[in-house]
Parts: sequence; structure tokens; C-alpha cells
Amino acid sequence: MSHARIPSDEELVAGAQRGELEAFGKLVERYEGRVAATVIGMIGDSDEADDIGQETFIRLYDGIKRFRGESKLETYLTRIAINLCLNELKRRKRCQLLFIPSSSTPEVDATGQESEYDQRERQQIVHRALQQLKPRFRSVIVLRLIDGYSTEETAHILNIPVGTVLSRLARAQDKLKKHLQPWISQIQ
Amino acid sequence: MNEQLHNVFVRSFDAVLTEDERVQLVRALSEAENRVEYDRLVAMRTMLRGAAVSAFKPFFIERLLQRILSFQEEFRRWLLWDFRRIALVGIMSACLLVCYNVSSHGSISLAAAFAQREYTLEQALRLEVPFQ
Repeated sequence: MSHARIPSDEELVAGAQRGELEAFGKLVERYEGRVAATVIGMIGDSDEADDIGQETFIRLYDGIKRFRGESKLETYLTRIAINLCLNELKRRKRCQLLFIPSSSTPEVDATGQESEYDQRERQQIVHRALQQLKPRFRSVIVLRLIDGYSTEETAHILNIPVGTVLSRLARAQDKLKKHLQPWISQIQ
Repeated sequence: MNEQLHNVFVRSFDAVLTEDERVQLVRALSEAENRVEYDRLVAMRTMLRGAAVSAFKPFFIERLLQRILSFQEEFRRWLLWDFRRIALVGIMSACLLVCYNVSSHGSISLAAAFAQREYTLEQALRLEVPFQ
């Protein structure tokens, strides 16, 4: 039985540079999850997050001919996504719009059963807690703890020193611990 | 728990600790109260890791590719219609210029249309600047 070979990023990028939409589509398929984790972590699960996701890939498509592979595609995309998110958060601040989660706080059933803490609800709890952080703290938490980038990669993506990443991580986790305390105690 | 110890706890996950910090960490973790704090931090980080949403709304790729195709279609339409309009205006301007040239020359010929002056053989041989 023969298996179809999975094309590498370089091959797909080369295809997209030749204008092959199918190759570009495969790249999107490959990195949608990564970009979604970053954008939804930063903005929350909203229509804007979807728009920023689309904008991230459109910028990749527009700039694909200039992409020389000097950094990993994943890092390149995350950088675009995080910058778009920070711009969106600045815009919201300018417009004095506060983030309002699309869904209400999940209700705890009387028995406090494990069912409350299914993945979806836990995501909502975490995302609500993340919205309480300032963007500069939120971005390090999303990149380091949700996306799983190393501290060096996080520093590279945000264009800040590693020491700054570490201090922001410490402060952000201290703040998050307060917001997430009730849930942490329950899942421990 | 003091702030310095909290920083050591956090750094133990994200950076390489110095010898002093390592000693401080081991000593701190031998106390039950600190151990609880450390475990809370581990639980929170696990909770955060598990909170990654790995997809946008349904049909994200299809919607994106459709958007790209519609951009391309828009550009093609611009070439077909808007550019055609610009070209038409250009052709009309050229025709008006030709009419003006012909009417000011007083005769209908290709040279008149393009406002070319006709030289006689004598003028050419004498290398004279014409009409001076």
C-alpha cells in the first residue's frame, strides 16, 4: 500500500509563490490551528478573531512572493497574527470598547460534577481571565503557555528581550492566578 | 509567598535557574505551604495549555480562499471594465487631437493628422530649417 507523501512547507510555499491556490490552501489548513490559538487567546472567541485570522492569511498570501524562508513560516505567521491582535486591542481601547464575551459564564450545576469542566468551558474560563490582562502581559502568556513557544521564540516574535518576557510572565501568572484561583482549586 | 519566591517558581518553568535559585527552590519546596503554591502554578499552567482553541469558525479555509478568489476577480473586473473606460477616454482624446491637426493644416493626409511638416527636396538638400 502506498502513502501519498506529505509536502513540506518549502514545497507548499514554492507552489503558492507560483500562484497555486491549492498549495496555499494546504498551508492554511496546516497552520489554522496555530493561528487560531494565538488570535483567540489574544482577542477571545469572537467574530473579530475570525476576521483577524483571515487577515493574517491574506497578508501571508500577499507577501508570499517575498517570503525567503529566513524564519520559520509558523513564526512568521504568529508574528503577523500577534501584531494584528495588538492593533485590534489598541483600536478597541481607542474606541473605548470593552471586550464582552459572546457567551455567559458557564453555570455550575448543584453537584459540581466534573462535566462542568469539559474542554469548551475551561477554554471560556481561561479566555475570560486572559481578557483581564493588559495586552503586553496577555501576549507573553498566549505565546509561551498556550502556543507553547520557548521564551526565546516568544522574545523573537514580540521583538523584546528574553528578560522582559520572563518578568512579564511572572507578573502575568501572578495576576492570572488570582482570576483562576477558584477553578484551580477545584481541578487540583 | 513573597514575590521573589514566586519569580523563582515561574523561572523554574521558563528559564535555566542559577545555582542559588535552584537551592532556594529546593528549600522552598520542602515546605508544605510553598509546595501547595507550586502545585497551583503547575495546575494553572496545565489549564492554560489545555485552553488552546485550535480552529476558527467552520469553513474557515473555504471562506478565506473564496475571499482571495473574489479579490482576484475584482482585479480582473477592474482590468476589463475600468481600464476599458480609461482606454476609451484615451482613444477619444487621440481622435480629437487628430481632428484638430487636420483642421489646422487644411488638408487631409496622414502627415497632417500627425502634424508632420512636409519638406521639399530643395529644403532637404540645402539643410535649411524650414519655414523660417
